[in-house]
Amino acid sequence: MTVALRLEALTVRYRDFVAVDALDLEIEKGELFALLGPNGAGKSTTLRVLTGQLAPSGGRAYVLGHDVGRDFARVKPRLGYVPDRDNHFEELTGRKNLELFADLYRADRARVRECLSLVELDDAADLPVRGYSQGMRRKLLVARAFLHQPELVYLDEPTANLDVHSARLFRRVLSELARAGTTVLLTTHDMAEVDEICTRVAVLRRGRRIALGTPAELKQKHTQHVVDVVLAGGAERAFDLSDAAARRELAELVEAGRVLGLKSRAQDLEAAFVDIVSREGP
Amino acid sequence: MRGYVLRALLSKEARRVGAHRGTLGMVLLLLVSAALLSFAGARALEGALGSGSANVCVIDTWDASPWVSHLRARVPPELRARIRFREVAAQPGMIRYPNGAVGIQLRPNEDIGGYKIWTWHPPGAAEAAAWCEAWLWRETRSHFLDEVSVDAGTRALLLRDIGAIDSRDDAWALREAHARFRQRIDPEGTKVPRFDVERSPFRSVSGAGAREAVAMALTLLGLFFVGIFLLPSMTCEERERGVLAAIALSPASAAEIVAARLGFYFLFAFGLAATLGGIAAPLALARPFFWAVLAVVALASVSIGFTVASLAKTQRGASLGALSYLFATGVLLITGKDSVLEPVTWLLVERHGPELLLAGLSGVVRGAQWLQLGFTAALAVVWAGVASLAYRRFGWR
Repeated sequence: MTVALRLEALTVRYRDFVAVDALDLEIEKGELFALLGPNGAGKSTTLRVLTGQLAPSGGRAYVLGHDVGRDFARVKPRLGYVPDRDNHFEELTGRKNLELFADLYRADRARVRECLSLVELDDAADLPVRGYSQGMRRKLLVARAFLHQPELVYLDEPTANLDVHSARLFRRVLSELARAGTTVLLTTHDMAEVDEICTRVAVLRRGRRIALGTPAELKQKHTQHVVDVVLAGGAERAFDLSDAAARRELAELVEAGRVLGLKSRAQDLEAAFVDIVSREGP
Repeated sequence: MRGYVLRALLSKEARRVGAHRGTLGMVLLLLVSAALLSFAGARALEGALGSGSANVCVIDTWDASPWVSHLRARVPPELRARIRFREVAAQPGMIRYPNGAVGIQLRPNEDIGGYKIWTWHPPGAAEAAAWCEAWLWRETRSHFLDEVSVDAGTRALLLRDIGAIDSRDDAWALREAHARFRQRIDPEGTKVPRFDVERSPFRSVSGAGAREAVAMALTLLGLFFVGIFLLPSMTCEERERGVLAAIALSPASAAEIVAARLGFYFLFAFGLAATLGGIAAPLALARPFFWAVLAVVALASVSIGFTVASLAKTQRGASLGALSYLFATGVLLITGKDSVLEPVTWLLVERHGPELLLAGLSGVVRGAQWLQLGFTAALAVVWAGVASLAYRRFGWR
């Protein structure tokens, strides 16, 4: 597989504060990769380095084979970026906003129409952006990022403020893009979204990578295998199935007919994420 | 530099400015002001600009006659700071007066066997010298009355009957009043000299009149509005919204972004200033010097504005930065005049721009002003370099 993005001991310091601490990461072409972490973990700072807005204090970032610090001009025409807050020309219409960027990327007008249609903004395309809702603004950002059919797309909380229908549409679009070979790196706090569409996940805390794997691997490794049991008489107990003694005790209770109800705690990424982050201490 | 990138960025700037009502309103206001100016009569403008009283009266003398000595000795304490005597014989060449002053020349005149008393005042404001003239004529009569013997009643009457001194063209009345005075106290004409009296408005060294001065102010306002106010404001608004970062992440290079922005606002400032100057003083459009000055001052103003835009982080910071810059240069120009700071003011475009624009608008261009234009062009190029460096260092991050 071809490597689309590689971070080697990437470090970003703001005076004494270390925002990104010797981060190593490798993302392959066509991956849909999520960068997770609590607030202040270093996700957005990493994206700022990758989008050339911030020079790293140490280490290297290679994107599509080029060193971002030295050769960003050759990388940026091949990137798409959806920032965490919208940045449109408010006084211009949605269409004019896209046309400007289409001209810069030498994309044609048909592509503008396609992208507007992709995010279902056809009807509002000729209204000034200042009248758009938060969700419409984010859709326009997504349309702008895909205008030039980039090889690598960064998305900073792309589905924030999107309604359920739009968020679902958006996930479908991302999955199709990844299948077509586009590499996607996203940051989000929506674990269901990550679980649904991402191929791999890295969890950051205090600028350091503390977990890496597929969503299934992380769930497998970090979710507690617990069942909640309601016993005769109304008492409730939880049994950890990874513990042999607990498994034997539960079997005996079932055999004795003392179990009135039993519910398995489903494996979910959110629980795994909380477990991963909490193991690292407060 | 890629043509399609520059076209896209220039088109973006034009669309943004075209969609900004405040900018359109200001441009319209400037154009209407220039149109009104073109319809206003020159005398009305001179009257509007020249009203009020002068702070200082400079009395130029060519000899040290007893009359002149009397005048020098009889300045009352409350006017000593305002009345200044000057020996003109020691100053060859054109007689110049400082801003805010009026002048009275006591010129010996052999043709009439006396003096020519020549008052110089701001255009359309003869009354500005009235307070100084009233003192001069009273003390003049006092001096000559001391030379002859008259009774106290006659002396008091003659001191009161000086003649009307106001804003009308009353030089003839003063002349006649003096002739009557002389006839009354010195019929033989041995002690009181003849006086010819004349009043004239100042002529500007540049040859420019009130119309050109107002046209210059409007043109300069147009240049500074676009270059030092609008450009930083629009740029910092884009930075605050993150749009500048979005543009920087596109294929457009930093050099292309700088070139398109400087190019657009340069053309906007140049076009607006040319239109304003052309409406207010149409003949200026036929003068290459006017166009050259516009180009130089437009380049300087957008470069200064771009530097402000690169250093200020927010739109509010840009407004304050532009205001602070103009305030600081204004203070430096005022305090630096005739002081040790004067050489520093030569490094300010704002020192040269108004003078050069006035010359371009009036058509009276002295040879040295081509050199001054060259120096100002060099300053503009330095500012363009500073703007480019500042943008590369701080511009969109």
